[in-house]
Amino acid sequence: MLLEDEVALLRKLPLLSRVDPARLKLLCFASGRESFAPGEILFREGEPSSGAYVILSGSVDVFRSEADRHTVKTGSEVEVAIVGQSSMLNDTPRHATVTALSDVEVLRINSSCFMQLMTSCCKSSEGVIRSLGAQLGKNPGQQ
Amino acid sequence: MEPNIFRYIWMHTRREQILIVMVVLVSMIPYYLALDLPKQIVNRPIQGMGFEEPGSTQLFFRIAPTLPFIGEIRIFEGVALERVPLLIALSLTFLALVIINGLFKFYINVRKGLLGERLLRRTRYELVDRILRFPPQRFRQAKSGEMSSLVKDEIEPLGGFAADAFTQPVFLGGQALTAMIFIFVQHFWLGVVAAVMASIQVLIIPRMRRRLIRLGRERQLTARELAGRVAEIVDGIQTIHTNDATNWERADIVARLGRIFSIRYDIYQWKFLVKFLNNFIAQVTPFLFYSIGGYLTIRGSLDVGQLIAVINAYKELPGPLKELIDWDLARQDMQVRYEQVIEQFEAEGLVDPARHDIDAEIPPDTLGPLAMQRLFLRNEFGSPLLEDVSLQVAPGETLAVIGESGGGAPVIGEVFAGLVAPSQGRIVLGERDLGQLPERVTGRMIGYAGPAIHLLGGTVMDNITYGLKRRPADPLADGNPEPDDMREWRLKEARMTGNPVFDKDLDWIDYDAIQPSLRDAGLMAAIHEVLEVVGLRGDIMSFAVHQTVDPDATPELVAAVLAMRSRLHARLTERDLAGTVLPFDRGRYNAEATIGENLLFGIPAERNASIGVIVSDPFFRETLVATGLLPRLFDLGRNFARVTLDLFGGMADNPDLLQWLTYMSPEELPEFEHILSQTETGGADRAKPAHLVRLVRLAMWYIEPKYRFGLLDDGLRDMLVEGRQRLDRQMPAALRDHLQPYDPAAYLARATILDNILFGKINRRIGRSEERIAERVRSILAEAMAEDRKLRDAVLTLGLGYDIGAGGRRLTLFQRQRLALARTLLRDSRFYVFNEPLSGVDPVFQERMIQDILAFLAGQPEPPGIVWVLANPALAHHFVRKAEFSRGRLVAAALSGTGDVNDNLGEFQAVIS
Repeated sequence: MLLEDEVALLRKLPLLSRVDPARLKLLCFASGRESFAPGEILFREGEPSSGAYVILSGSVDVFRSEADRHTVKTGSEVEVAIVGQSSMLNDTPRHATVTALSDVEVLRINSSCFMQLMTSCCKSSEGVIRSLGAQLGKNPGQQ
Repeated sequence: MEPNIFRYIWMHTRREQILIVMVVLVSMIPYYLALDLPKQIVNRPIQGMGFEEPGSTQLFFRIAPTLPFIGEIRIFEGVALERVPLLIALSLTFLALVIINGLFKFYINVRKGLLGERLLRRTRYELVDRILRFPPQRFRQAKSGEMSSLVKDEIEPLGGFAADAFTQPVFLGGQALTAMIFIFVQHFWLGVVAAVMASIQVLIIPRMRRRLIRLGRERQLTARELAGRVAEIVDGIQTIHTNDATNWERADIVARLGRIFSIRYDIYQWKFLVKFLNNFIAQVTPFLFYSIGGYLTIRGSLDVGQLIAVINAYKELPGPLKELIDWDLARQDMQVRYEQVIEQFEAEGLVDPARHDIDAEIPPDTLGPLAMQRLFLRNEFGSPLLEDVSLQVAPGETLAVIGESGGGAPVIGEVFAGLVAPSQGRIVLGERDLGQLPERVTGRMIGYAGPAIHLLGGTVMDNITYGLKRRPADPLADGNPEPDDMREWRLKEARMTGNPVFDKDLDWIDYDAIQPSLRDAGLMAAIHEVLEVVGLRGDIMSFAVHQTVDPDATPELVAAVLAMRSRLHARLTERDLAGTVLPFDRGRYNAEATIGENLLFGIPAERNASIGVIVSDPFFRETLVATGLLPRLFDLGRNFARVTLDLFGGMADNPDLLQWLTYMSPEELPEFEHILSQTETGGADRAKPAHLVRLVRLAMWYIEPKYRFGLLDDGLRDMLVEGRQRLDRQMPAALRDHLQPYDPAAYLARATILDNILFGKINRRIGRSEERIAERVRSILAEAMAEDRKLRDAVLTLGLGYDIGAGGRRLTLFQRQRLALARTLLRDSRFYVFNEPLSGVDPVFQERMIQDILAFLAGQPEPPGIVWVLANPALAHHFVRKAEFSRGRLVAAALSGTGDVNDNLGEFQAVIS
């Protein structure tokens, strides 16, 4: 999968769908592609954040010990998922433990590049704020 | 310190001053002889005085002074010489006198310089010694930048002045006085005129100078404040940036500079006005001589010869007078400087030097508990911080001090450590008041780690052993390579200037002060253990493996690293490591390495070697052409540039985002844009050589998995591997010296230890691969170190040699906190006071560290007493007792773990109110 394809997939994420295309591509460039085998852990609850993971293919299990709840997130060419988004945005420790359920391909978003992008482009940050707002509207209890 | 600069100088340099005056007096004899000799040479051999008849001779070197009352004394009859021999003899005498005078001058200047430098050394030492002895409250208003500028710059001219302080006025005054007396002898009234004019000078000028002194004082004050502010800016640069206060700081500096400027401008105006008046008075006197003296001569009461003698004598006057005035100016300036410096270093309640005595013995009656007895503490405004606190901790006990912030708990830590003196009541160690005990005793008995961490610039080693540096070892046992006479000289000079004769180059580490459980294993083993307790060992290992070492100097380390390399590579097939490292393999393309690295397949061989030499050699280009790589790399470079421009072309105004562009500088973007417009894909043979070189060189940076531009296919990879083989086979010997090829059996001299163990690239495509590898390397290193003590010490020494930067800035806060704890734990003490040493640390980590530290200290043969001020009361159950503070009072004391807070109060102060 090349940079161009990753950009197209990232665009499917609500969080990034309204970000300026040139900047999205740059964010993608500065981020790193990683893969995990089934059973491997992407990150553990309580660890310091090292950026959000966008699941490009495969499924992961998200476990929050606080709520004692497992959720499965899956990414494919049709739709991608994002994990670790809130700890990247707040720069707080991880809220959940994420484990690969299958072979997983991810893009680890470079959080400092993401923040620079937000501060350097109003249009992009406005887009991100809107999509965060939409998320808030959908599940007000969780945020 | 002595407030009067002259008394100060005299007190410390009197013997040398007298010696110099004597030598100067003696030097006057050859000086006057040398002045007199030219007259003799001209009169006698040249003009022939006394040689009127051919063959007549004169006596040379006849020493027969005529003294009053005694008459002539013949010391040496002299040698009879003819005219030419006499000329030669006199000329040679003149030459000898010139040399003697020069030597005198040389000797006097060296003595003066020596005197000045010794005094400066003494003063600087005294000042720093005072800082070390300042009472704690003195530091509230002290700015470190100002203090250091006082010691360094402002006192500096003292040395130069000290040498002239007494000799200069004596001689200049003597000269001026001689000239004055001479004038009086010639004519009384003209003498009066000269005296009056000189006294006008002496009366008016110093008055005008007073303003100069005041201005000078202001100038110094403002300049020192400026130094303090600049230091503050440097120290607080992050705060300045986060508050967007750079412009406020600019305004402040501008205002200060303006003030300094106006003061200096004022100084110049006055200084030159004074100079003008001074010159005017000096010049107006000859006018009076000419007019009055001339009138007197016409009237006949003064003869012409006398008038000329007076005017000539007066000509001798301004020189010394001017220099005297200059000296006076220097004196005033120095007096001001000196007073200002002294003022800053005066403080009430300087610590008695006896408390810092290096030989102080530990008194036997200090072995009891550490206790506060009805202790009160007020801050500088008189509000109470602690009220009527009685609390003690015995050796072997552990006590947690808790309480809301501002309730007095942290102050308890400071009082227990003896950092703050109580306003009322006592803090005692056994039977002795803590404030009266020498620091050698308190330092040995009480270990302290507080919230404000102070680390010294230097290495980890310097810092971790800081608590052990208590006195120098015996110089004889040390095997000092320095020659004895050098050493003697150094110590003699130190003694002469009132410096203590401490020898810094000796081993200051007190090995008996290491924790008893670790003492016998040696310092390195002890440090290793303590680092483990505070959880810093991994960090130190990491510092070590990121260093490069000279393989020739450390053959054992190199062998061990190579062994670790094969151990790691043998395990690369294990499940969690599979694929995480891509080893350097001559027959395969390394996906995580750049194209350039793949082609050359090696690293620069030596410090001065350079890959650039190889790449720019015609041989390199020829090989690329021969393997058909050149057009392919041209195309790749061209596409690489195109995509890069596409990504970054629009970000030119955004420096933050441009940091992600690592393989070219932002300034190169327009150049590549130009090159792209001049070239076309597949057009390597038509491109200009300069463009070709630029694009091929750019291609060298490409890493497919990192950039994911899809520019590299398997065919090209194979070609690159083939090119690598060809380069290796055909490389000229001269170029070969610059490159150390990747050889699994060889140590890469220019790579870090870590890279040598890895011998490959980390595969970033595999999630958390760096972490997994780092962990595995750490465990392999730990295994190897456990097997081989020499290796352990070698690696530890490397890691401990890491330079932590000024104040430990190159460490994270957590690392600094742990290093400060390690420093405290390495040293054996009867009591340990931990005053929120882990503030800001994750509670889980904090709890683990507290447990580890308590277990470590409890494991000592004689467990010490521990006071731990906790910000988090939930951790108090790890301690045997706890004491809770609120509003400066001890509100609850209990055995922790028991529910009843007022239990066990018999031993403590009862709860008040």
